Amino acid sequence: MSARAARFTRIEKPDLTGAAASWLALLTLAIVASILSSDFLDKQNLLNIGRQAAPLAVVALGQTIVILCGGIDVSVGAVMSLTTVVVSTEMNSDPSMVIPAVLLVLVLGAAIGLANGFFIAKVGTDPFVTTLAAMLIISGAALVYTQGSPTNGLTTGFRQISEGELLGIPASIFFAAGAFALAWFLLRRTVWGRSIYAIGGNMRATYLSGRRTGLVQATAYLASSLFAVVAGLLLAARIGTGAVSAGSGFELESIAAALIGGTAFGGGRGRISGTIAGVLILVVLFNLVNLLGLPSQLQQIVRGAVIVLGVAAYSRRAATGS
Amino acid sequence: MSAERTLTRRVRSVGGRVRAHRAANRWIGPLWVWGVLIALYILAVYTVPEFATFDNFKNILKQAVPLAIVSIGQTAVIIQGGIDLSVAAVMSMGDTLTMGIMNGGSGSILFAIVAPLGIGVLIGAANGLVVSKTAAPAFIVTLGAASIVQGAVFWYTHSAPYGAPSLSFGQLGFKEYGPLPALVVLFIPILVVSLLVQNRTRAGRHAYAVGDDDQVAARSGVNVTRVKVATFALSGFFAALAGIAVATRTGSGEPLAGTGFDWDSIAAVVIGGAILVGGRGSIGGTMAGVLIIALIENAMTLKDVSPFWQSTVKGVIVLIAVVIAAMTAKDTLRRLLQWRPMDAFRPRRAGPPPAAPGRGGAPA
Repeated sequence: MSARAARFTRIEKPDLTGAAASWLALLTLAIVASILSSDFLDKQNLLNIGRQAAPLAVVALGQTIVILCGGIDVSVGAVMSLTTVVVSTEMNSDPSMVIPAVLLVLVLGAAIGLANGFFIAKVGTDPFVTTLAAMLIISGAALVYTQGSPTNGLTTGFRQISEGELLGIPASIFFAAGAFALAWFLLRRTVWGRSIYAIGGNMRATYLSGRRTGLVQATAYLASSLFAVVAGLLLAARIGTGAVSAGSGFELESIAAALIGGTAFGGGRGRISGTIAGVLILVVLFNLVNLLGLPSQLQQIVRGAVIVLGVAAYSRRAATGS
Repeated sequence: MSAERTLTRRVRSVGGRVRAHRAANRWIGPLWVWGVLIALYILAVYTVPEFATFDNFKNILKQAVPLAIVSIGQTAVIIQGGIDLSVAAVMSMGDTLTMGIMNGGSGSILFAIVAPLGIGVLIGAANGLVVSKTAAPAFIVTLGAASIVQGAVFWYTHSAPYGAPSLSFGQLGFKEYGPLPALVVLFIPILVVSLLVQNRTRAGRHAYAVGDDDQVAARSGVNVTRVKVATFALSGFFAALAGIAVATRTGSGEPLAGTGFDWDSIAAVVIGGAILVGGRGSIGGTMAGVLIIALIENAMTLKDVSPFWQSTVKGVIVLIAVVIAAMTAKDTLRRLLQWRPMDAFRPRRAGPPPAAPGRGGAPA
């Protein structure tokens, strides 16, 4: 097989090793967890893990898309926080305002994502710094908007998207599954998705092959922002309030989940099923330290150690060596 | 032959401009950043009441010292192509550990300063080792380290203000040597040594080489791992030192003393002309970035602007800085300065065109 054919095959069908290794690690972890804590396999605990994993899974899927095209989005945590405060303030306990409030945050998220994409793809700014600036701007805006106090205006109907159950399974899991199906379709069944992989593999070659790299890159940030908004909605429904710090930490955890799931930092390689495994690994570990009753300070230490060790062990080099 | 002479002349003149440009850049950073600082200062003098006093000037400098110290280490890491998001937690460690060891005067001041610095170096070196030995990106490793260190600080302090300064140490933050605050005077030698290390030592040059292209640096005989570990260790050292500097102004160790310094130090470095892929940036430029941030915070406080706006304003400044960096990377002057005239003498080889469209899109 010629080198060119080999490369083409790799783009068409990324190797399974990254994602498969992560699922294997998750399985091992689950076995260890069920030995360490008898409550782990309890049905209620498993549903709880699902409920906790749903927002992280949704935001991590968007993050994976951005990382696959060679970028990074550290503004997703701030977008989630903004979503929780705006949606709960605008809803103001009025059931008729649910849909307008949700549409408003989706529009806000789209605007933020397009702004990120414009600067990164068209002006050529550094993705990390650009989304960092967006993070600072958004969290300042959220503070000014709420004057720093938490907001309570979510209707009970809205909270059903996380608290409600369908066939005994929390509704938020269905939302996460829907987000997964959408991301899978976009990445695997559209030209746009193939272009994401191609840009992450070699931006210049993709450009010279006639793809509109700037547009694809910009829309990747749009997608990431919109996924973050949906994650923010699920988070707001779960915690029942809007807070300016609700989403902090999700930027780190979403990136960690994608990398632990075998997506290469720098782009071009990875699959979203791996990201789901990465999310579950993180949430199961956080759940485990909770079940073991460790003090909260120690929990924070374990969280940090898990992320460093997980990313260090599972990180893969990007498709283009350099 | 006349064509050759013209070329030689052009090589010389471009070479001269490159040297002048680089010399200025090395020591004080991009001139436009200092221009922005001066413009902001003049603007504040005319629009902010009580801004234009010598006391306030000293105040800005004094407030800027901790951020300036952290940002020196952050500059070293970013020049080398990494990033250090653990500095905020390491600062909190420096602050609380110093206070805890001094414990109101019962402990040794020397040990209270040396111990946090040593731990800072160890944390930084650990970061550097993980970053250089695995494929894990620096910001994830250091953010994870931040979580670990911050958890340890909460454990040590039981999540409450902790310890107290010795009398002489506690006065340092309010003392003045001559016309300037003691902290500012003590900072000057640190800055001078850092500038000399950046510009006049092999280690400083190596950091730029690794940041520009670590594979080329490795093939040129640079020990890349050592450079990376050293810069991260330096960043841990300076972050702990900044925590100690904060401690000279407060009555007890604050477990969240460093909050916000991670993003602020990166903002200062980026405003100062560095790029996150590495190879560019300078301590001088970073100092201008630090002063811009300190000046804006000071002016906003004097103007009674809600502190909630501060984050947004900083974000806008960072965005402007990164846009300007992207534009200057494209502009003709820089292309001229990066033009390597000697390439004309190399034999042409078949293959892809050497000019890549920059590294746009590739993250740090």
